[in-house]
Amino acid sequence: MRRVLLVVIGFFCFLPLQARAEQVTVWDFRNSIIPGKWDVLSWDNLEPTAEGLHIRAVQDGRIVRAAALTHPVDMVSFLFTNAKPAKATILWRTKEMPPDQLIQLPFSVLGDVGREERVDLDMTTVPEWDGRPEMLGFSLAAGTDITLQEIRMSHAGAMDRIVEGFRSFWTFDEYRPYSINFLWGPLLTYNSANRESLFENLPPRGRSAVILFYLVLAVAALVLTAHRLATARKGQQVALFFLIFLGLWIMFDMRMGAETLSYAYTDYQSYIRKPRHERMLRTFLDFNGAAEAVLEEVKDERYGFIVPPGTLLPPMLRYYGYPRLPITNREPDRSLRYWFVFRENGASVNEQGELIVDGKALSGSGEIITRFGETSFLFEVTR
Amino acid sequence: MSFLLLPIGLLPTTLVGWLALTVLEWRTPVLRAAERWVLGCVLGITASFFWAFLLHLTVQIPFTLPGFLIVFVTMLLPLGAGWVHLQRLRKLDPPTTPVVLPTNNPLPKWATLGLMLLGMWTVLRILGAGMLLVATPSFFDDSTDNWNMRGKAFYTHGEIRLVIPPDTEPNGVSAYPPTVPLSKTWLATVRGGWDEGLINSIHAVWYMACLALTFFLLRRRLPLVWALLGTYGLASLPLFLIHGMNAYADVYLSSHIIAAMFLLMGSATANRPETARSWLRAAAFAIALLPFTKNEGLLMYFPLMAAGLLLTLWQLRRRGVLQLRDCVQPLALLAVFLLVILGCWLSFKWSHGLTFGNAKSINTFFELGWQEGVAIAITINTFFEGNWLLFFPLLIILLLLRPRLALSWPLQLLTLYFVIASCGQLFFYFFTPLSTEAIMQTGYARGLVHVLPVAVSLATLLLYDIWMRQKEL
Repeated sequence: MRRVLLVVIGFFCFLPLQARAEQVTVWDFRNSIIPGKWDVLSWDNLEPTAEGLHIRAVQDGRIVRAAALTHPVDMVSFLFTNAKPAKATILWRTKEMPPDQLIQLPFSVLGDVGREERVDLDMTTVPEWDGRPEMLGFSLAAGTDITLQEIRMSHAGAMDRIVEGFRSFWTFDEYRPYSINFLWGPLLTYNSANRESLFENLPPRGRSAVILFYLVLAVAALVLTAHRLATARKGQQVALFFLIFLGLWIMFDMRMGAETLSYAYTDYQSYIRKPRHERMLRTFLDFNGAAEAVLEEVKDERYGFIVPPGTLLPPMLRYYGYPRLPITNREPDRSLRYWFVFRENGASVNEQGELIVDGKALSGSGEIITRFGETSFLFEVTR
Repeated sequence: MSFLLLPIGLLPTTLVGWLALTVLEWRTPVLRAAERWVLGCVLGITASFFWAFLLHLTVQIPFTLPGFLIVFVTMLLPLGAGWVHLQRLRKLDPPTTPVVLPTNNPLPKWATLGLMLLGMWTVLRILGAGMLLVATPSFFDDSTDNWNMRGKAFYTHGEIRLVIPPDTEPNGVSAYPPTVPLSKTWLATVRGGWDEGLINSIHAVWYMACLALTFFLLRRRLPLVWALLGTYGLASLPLFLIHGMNAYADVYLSSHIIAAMFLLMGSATANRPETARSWLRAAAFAIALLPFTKNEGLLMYFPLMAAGLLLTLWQLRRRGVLQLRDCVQPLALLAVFLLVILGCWLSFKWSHGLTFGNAKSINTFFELGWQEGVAIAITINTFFEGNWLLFFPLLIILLLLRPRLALSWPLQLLTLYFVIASCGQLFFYFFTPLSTEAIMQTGYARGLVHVLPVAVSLATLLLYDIWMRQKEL
């Protein structure tokens, strides 16, 4: 058995591990510097400043340059400042492509005047990205006013990837409406940008970590089979295989159990221990607290319920308030005394005191009697 | 904290189940006390609310406190009388031989410590998930559209409602048996009002019952450590826990399947005819209740379990434990139970034009044709997500290592049940419009949830055999 363990340990010691740290190339535009030679289309008022390259795009335009990189690239990060919300596109060309073509991938700038904003793009999830672009740049839509401080192109080293993989393994999903049907389980991703937003984009951009368990089991099965064939001492190999299996099972159980406990912890912090008006329940946010308050006030058999279409909230409210019935057809109904409006951006009260939704007056004259937020309230018809 | 009323709510239903099983065992008790209480809890709930449903339809007993009291009194009185009579008869019988369980081999300290830590971790996880069940509102759509919604409607109106506004005619969910909703109606009646924590807490009972019954099934065949290990295996499955700690009915159905299988397995290894008959009478009762659990219970799991009963009778005949006339009693009992339960439920469905499918018409099951995308969806769900840990690869490995044992008696019952139920569902996913349930990862996992206790029991028994054989080498 000692020999078996030595073989296993030796196998992993001889795996080719790259010891190099992260490789980074930075194109820094601060202090009025323009790094490299850029090809600009449609903009003629670019202004190098101490803070970076100020771009005021009067029309759609782009800026690209030869990448001339000495290492592969996994992630491209843009650092902006003094930005207003904008739509942008990263552009690149690979060696195999014709010289007049560029691939584009859109991204958004949230915009925060006076502050820096970093936009990290995990290019490993883009099938058309080969890691070694020949040309690289970006385009901005007309009306964009932005200052570019740097473009950073990085390639994670082996240790960084291992660390990020480990951290992503322990990154948990939230308790969502699909959690009753499936659980994503542990995922692997190799950079911090992707890990931090792992479950925000669905399906998540990561590989199932379960494949690692299968790899370990496959290696264990091969090694133990070889040992069984080579030795006269049979029997221990099967036991050892199932012990390894048990170890992996327990590790997997720890991971998924921790995720379940994270659901409980989150709910305790955001819902159970909070007063009603501060409660947030998972993807339904402040709905439950608002619904509870509404149902305490509204005793009528029928009441209006205005919520953005496509949510799961109408049947939920029907259940909570039964036998009182929420009317959700967004049509005028002067017989309804109460209207519960939840996160509806377009709902308002006009000068006549009528509730306006989709440009239509749904109710008679009344007033908002309880507010739950900027776009959520309870409206009562008073006349 | 209203969920503390749960034991009070469960008392009459558990008593119904316990008395029914005791009477069915008659003068040959085969169950251990804990087994009888857990089985009584599971089967008693369904039996009680079937009886409530029947009285409601026939003599318009309302779903109010007096109505439910009438239901329980009309069950408990005859069962209680039967029990009293039975006690007198049993006094004349020789003392029963206590059940002999497999011996435990002492474990090394590290293994004992490891098991204790696993146990504590499991309890912690269950408590965390349980907090989500009782301390937060119902969250998933089937809870608020079906199980809880119907329970609340029955409670509000005191009667069965097939149409719940704003619907204007019965929709798919009305086709489900009303057992789970009625259990919530009853709990709300006990409390005197609808309380989310209380009416949802019953789902934890079914989950714990699944764990307990799996443990009991294993303990009768394995040393304590292995029975605990198998139970840990079931408790560690994430999606089974999520289902068990939410207001869905799949773990409820699972508890019925493992209950029936436990009783069938008990009869499968009986050595005396009176013992076998006792097990079989109880099994017939459990099997007859399956159609009144969920639509899948009627369409898939009941026929398979009834086939399992026939197979068991055949095996017991083959082994010389039972004569032909001994087989008549359990079959007759099953027929009587089915006449009442299935007869009542099917009549109700037909007379109200309710569907037989899983909230969809069964006619869609017969539109056959290859469905794209199903294979990859099922592969991902089964092997590459966090739903079942490494269980299905383990089960496959064990079946490949020990195929003969898996198909030998009595493990054959577990193997055939799991394989036929799973393959049957796979057929529907690969060849009928039900494929959306697999591609969208909605209904597929629930089919696995139903049979997981059976599958985990099988896997543990196979693993034990492999382990013991390698120790001998």
